[in-house]
Amino acid sequence: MNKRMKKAVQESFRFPETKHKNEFLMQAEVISAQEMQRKKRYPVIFRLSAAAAAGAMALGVWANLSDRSKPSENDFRDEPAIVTTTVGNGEIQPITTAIGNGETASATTVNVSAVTTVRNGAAKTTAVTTGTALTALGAKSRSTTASRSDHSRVTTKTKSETFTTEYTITNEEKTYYMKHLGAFASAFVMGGNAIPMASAAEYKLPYTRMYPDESDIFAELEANIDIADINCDGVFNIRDCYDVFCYSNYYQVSDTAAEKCRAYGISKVNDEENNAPSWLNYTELIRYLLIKEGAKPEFFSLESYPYRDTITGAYAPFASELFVSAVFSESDHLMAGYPLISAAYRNKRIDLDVNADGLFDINDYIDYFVCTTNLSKSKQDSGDFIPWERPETTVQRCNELRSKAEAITRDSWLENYFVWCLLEYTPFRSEYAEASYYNSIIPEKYSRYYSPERYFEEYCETTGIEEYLFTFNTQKFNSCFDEYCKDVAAGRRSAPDINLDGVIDRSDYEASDVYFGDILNGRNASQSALPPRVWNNITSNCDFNNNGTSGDVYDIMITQMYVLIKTGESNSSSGGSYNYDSNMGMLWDIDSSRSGDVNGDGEVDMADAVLIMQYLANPDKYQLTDAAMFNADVEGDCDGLNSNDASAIQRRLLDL
Amino acid sequence: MSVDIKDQYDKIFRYCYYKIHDRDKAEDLTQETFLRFLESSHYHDMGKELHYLYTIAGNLCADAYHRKKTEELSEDMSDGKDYEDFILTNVALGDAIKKLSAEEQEIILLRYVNEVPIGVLSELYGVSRFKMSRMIKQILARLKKDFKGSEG
Repeated sequence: MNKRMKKAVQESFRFPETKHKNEFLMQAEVISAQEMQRKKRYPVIFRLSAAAAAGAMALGVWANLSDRSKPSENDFRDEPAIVTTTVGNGEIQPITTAIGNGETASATTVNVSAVTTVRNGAAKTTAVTTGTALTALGAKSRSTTASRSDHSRVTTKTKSETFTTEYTITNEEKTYYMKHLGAFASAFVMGGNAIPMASAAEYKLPYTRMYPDESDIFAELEANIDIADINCDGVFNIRDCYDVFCYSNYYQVSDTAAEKCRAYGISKVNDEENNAPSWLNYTELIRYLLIKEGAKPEFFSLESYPYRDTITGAYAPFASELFVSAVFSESDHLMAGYPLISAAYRNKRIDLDVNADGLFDINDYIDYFVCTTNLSKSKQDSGDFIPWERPETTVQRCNELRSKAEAITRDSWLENYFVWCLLEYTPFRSEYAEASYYNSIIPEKYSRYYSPERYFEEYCETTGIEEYLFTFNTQKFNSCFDEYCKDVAAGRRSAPDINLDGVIDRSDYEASDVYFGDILNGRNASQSALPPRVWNNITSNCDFNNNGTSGDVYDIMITQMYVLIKTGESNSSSGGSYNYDSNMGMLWDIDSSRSGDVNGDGEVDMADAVLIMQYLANPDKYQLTDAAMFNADVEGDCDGLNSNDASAIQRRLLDL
Repeated sequence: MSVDIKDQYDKIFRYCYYKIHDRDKAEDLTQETFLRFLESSHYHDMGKELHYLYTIAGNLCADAYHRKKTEELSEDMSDGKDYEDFILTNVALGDAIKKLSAEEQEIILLRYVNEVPIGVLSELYGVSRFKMSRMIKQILARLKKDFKGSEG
């Protein structure tokens, strides 16, 4: 809608002036109450961070102003100076590690113990508070070398004992560095706040379960997998772990395995004289295998491990059981049992629909969480705890589920696994991780005793599932869309008839639109404008990109793009409510070129269309700049953002 | 979403006035809306202040309307048609707006006079943002059509 029309509508309404507005607003209670609410909205951590950032910037400005003798000396080429920065004593500490599917990613920090500055021959030492500097994140490489210029050098050797940076500058370094230090510190503090999600979005295993030095061990194993092939059968599997376990515990192993164990100097229990590398033991091999391949049922089966007689001839019937216990223990610590639970749900060995309403959804999780909490509270002194009693059948089904799950995996993370299943098999909603979401479900009387959101919070924090689900990668989309179209053409997969009416048409496009809005707004099938049959179909059967989640943003976009291609819809030929050109067309009087580049990456692609849809669905979360708003309004001129703009970008990409 | 009472006061007043057709009563309801809003802290924690503000105002107006129906009719009480003539000043566009249903008029008022975001409107009317966007588009198309017809 253009400004002229908007103004005309606004001026069409005439309202009387209020009489008592000022008196009302002047009431101290009103103002103070609002101020208090305003303050409450910002967590302390954000205010502290903002203050830190402001302080850092102020420091930079202060240093710049106080040490600058004359403004023109900002030119650093005038005066030679040497700055040598010696960092750390070689202590390398991986702080962030994400492991899964055989991939490793690490972030390395180097302790900063001193910064020495030498200028014009007169040594001047500047004390720098010991801190940490992030040198690498998510990289497999172990060393980095970079050059700033012809006469400068930056060398990082994380394996060596020192981390040294040398370069020559020609400036009054304090001014120069304080300015940049201030800017860096500000960026670092603010940037730190902007990383609530771990970089391990693709990994199922939470990186927090890793030991601090395990990334190096696993990298070593990955690079030399022959080391781990103890029985020399050409593959590394659970039998190798078992052989090492048996050798370490004086059980009989094959000659080949024993020879290799001896060659590597694998230590035996209580064998103090052995100087084998500490990392080469059965525990680390089991953990590496679990991370590399995930837990499998055969890992926990006694039948998988033949009885081992002892070398000494003593009767030792417990080797297999002890090993299985060790595998269970490491699986539990790594939270590696989830694939087993997920597979059991798929195979209907466990029923997660604990409230027996025929649908596995958030209500089942809440019931399970409440029952589990009640059970644990009943076993301890629960103080003033008032249990929210669930129906007897629900309690019984929860107990059955718990028993079956514990038989599958002895992990003590069943609540977490329940949440993971929910997120894997139903659409994710960000509200699940908010306590307020449960206020309308759990009666107020009991709500303070239950915090079901915490498991969602944990998962969002450790795996970044929210970003994973709602971050749109154009390249990834193009790849899976091409594949999907080929599969449909070859008859391997069905076309996206998501509304189940038997035809691929605009109504499928509309349904996907509505569904996308529903999941972002936390509406379920009963609250949606879509028929429950259609809604549930999208939830369950529309995983077009085969990522395990039906109805995510990729599935929505695949549906819409496919419909546009199939129908060959264009501006001029479309009719009804989609005949956009005729819609308010004569009132548009602004003739400006709008690129469609909403995310400002210089290209108009699917990510821009998705960003528009995200903005329409949740403008509070997906905020657009003025420039982005301008560029996004490609359908019609200055009529505000709507789904037509996203549709127009999609059509443009298809040359329709 | 942060709500500034100073900014919203006039807008809630317009909404109440549109609903209740009585200036003094509308202002009373406006102030009552804000007092209830400020007294209930959980409204703020849920991040939907504007939505709840309009919900409270709407509920108060509905209550007031029902009470008003049980009162005796006063002589100065105007009917709806006169009232619409009073607030819709632009004759041509006003005629077009009057042809809209009550709900559509209210949506136009909220969206373009009170500048309520589409997200909040969709929550108020229980529809998706996409549907609300389309509804507004259709309303405007009809407005334009009627507007053009009356001009021609």
